[in-house]
Amino acid sequence: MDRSVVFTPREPVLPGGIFLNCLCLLAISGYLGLLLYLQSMALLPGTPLRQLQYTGIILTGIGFLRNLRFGIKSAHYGVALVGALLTGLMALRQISLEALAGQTPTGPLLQGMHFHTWMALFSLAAMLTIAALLGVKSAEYPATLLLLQSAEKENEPRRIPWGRIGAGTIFVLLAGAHLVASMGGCGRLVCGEGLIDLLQLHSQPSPKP
Amino acid sequence: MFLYLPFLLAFLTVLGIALGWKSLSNKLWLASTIVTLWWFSQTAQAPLGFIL
Repeated sequence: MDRSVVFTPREPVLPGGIFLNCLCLLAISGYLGLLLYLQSMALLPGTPLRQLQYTGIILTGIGFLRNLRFGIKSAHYGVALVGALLTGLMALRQISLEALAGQTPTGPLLQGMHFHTWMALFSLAAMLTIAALLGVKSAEYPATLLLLQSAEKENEPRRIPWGRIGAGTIFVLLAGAHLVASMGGCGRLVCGEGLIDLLQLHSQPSPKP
Repeated sequence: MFLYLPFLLAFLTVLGIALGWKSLSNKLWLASTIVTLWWFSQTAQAPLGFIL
């Protein structure tokens, strides 16, 4: 069937898009791994606000994982964007509680910056990356056309997408490891006790001008 | 009232996506986002520490 009158023949999913999404998911997995390592070495105490930021990072990665699993769609970038926004919001809250002028922030330094700063930078970088990826995104074709195209390419051997599977598996494992790490600090019944107080970190009174 | 609830929901979402459960993972993602936002909203009860 000749559909060239209706459709300009293009690849339904640009391989570059998948590759870039793989890279983004691996970068997020690397950051999650670093945070997990610092948490396990007790260098980065797992305060509730920090843990919520980790959830925000996982929510960002979910958008990229959906792209790899279900195909690249604007809606999936929206999912990643919501996660990045949540992370940024919580990082700014932590900065306002811990790191304003006259306060002494705690925690280790990486490249001379505290991790609340890195979290805020992560969310900004994630938003910029998503904007760039949306710029190179291919057109969203209807599912029927994709089915027709795959039916026409019957003779082509199907390759197993090992890159996608590998990146997805690493992310799933790291999300599970963060879940285990968050449960490690909880007893069976006492988890969350006094959590509201912990969330409202007692900020130092700011110096009067 | 469990702090690990957002993590649990996020992990289930990730697992659902990996297994190809599109509809369920959508709902789990929404639940995870709402729970995270709800926990975060608790911090807004304290003064922000700066003048808006």
